Amino acid sequence: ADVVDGEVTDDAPKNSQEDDDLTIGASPDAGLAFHFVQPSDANVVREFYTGKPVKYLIGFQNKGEKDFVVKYAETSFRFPTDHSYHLQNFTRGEYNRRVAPKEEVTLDYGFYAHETFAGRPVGLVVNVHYQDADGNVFVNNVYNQTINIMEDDSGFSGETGFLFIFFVALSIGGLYLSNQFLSKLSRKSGLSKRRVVEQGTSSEVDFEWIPRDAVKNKEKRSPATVSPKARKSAKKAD
Amino acid sequence: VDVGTQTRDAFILAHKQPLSTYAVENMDFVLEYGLYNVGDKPAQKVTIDDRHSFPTNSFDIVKGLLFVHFEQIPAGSNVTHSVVIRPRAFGFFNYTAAQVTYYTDNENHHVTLTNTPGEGYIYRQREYDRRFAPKYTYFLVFFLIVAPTTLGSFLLFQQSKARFPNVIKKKST
Repeated sequence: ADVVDGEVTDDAPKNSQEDDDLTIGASPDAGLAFHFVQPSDANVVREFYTGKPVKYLIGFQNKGEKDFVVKYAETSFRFPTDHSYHLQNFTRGEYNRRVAPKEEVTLDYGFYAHETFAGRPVGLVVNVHYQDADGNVFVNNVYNQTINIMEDDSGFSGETGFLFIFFVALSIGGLYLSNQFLSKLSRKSGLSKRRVVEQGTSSEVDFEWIPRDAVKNKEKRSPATVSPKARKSAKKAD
Repeated sequence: VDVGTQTRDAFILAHKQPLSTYAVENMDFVLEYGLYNVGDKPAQKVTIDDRHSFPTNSFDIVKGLLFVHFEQIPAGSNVTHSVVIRPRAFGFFNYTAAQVTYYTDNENHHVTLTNTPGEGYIYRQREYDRRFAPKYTYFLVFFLIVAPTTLGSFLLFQQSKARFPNVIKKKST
C-alpha cells in the first residue's frame, strides 16, 4: 500500500492483508515517521542524484505501556511496477535501540545511488523491524514511493578531465606533424640559398693563429735551427 | 482510518551529526543538531539538552550552547543548531544521543532522543599534524640537503669563471 511521507499508524490485520511484502504487521502502539535530510528537497520532488549521499531520519514513537526495541531498518530499490522484484538491497541499518513507554527516538540512515540507476525511476522501500518487551516482532513500512534518480552533471568529473587531456595530446601531436611538414617545405625552397663550402686553402698564411712572439723572431735565427755541422765550424772559427 | 488524511500532533525528528571530519584533541569539533517537525501542528517549548553527552572534564565548549530552547517549531519546518566543542584528550569516545523535549497542541509532554553518532576516535594532535599540517619545515630541511649540490655548484662555477676575466677581451682585440 502506498504510504505518504510522515507518520504511519496501521492496524496489524489491515496491514497484513494489504501488504504481501509484510507478513508481519505493525503494532498499534508504535507511531513512525520518515523524513529526508539530504537532499532536503527529496521530500517534495522525490529526486536523487547519483554519487550524492542520501540521508533520512526515521522517527519512532512508543505510545504503549511496554518497552519497544527497534531492531533494524532495511532499505531496498524495487522495480516500480513490480515491488516484489528487488533491484538492490542496501546494508541493513542496525539500531537495537530501546524505546521506553511514552518516549520517542530518531534513527538515521544514508546510502548512495549508483550510477547504473541514473535516468530511470525506481521504487524506494524502507521497512523498520521492531519488537516489544514480550518478544513479539513487528514490521512497519515507513516509505514506499517511486523516485527518479538523476545523473549528476554538475562539477568536474574524471571522465571529462581525461577526455580533455586526450584532446590536448591529439592537438599537440597534430601540431608536431604539421611542423615537420612545413619544415620539409622550407628546406626544399632553401636549397638554392645553401652556402658554398670552402674547398682547399689559399696560399696566404693566416698569422692570426701563430703566437706573436714567433712572428717577431722570424728574422732572427734561432740557435736550435743551426745544423751540427754549422755549429762545429763556428766553434773552429772561434 | 485513511492514513493520508489523518491529522496528527507535532512529531519532532531530532538529528545530531558531527560536521567536522576528524575529532582531534585541542582542536575545534563542530556538531549540528536538526529538529524537523513532520507533524501537522506546531510544537511548543522545544528544548535540546546534550549536556550529559560532553562532560566538562573531557570537552571544552568553544561556541554555542548544549542546552537550547525554541518557543515554537511550526508544522513542516525545521531548525538547526550548532555547537563547537574541543576535546581535551585523545582516545575512543562514544557520542550518545541528545534529549529533545517538546509539548504538543494539547499540552502533552514528549521526550525524544536523537540518533547516536556512535563511537568515534579522537585523534592525537601529533598524528593529525603529521598528516594534515603544512610541511614548511620539511621544505626547509629539503632545501638545506639540496643546497650543497645546487648552490655549491653554482658558487664554484662563479669562482672558476672569475679567474679568467680577460679571455673575451683578448679574443676581441
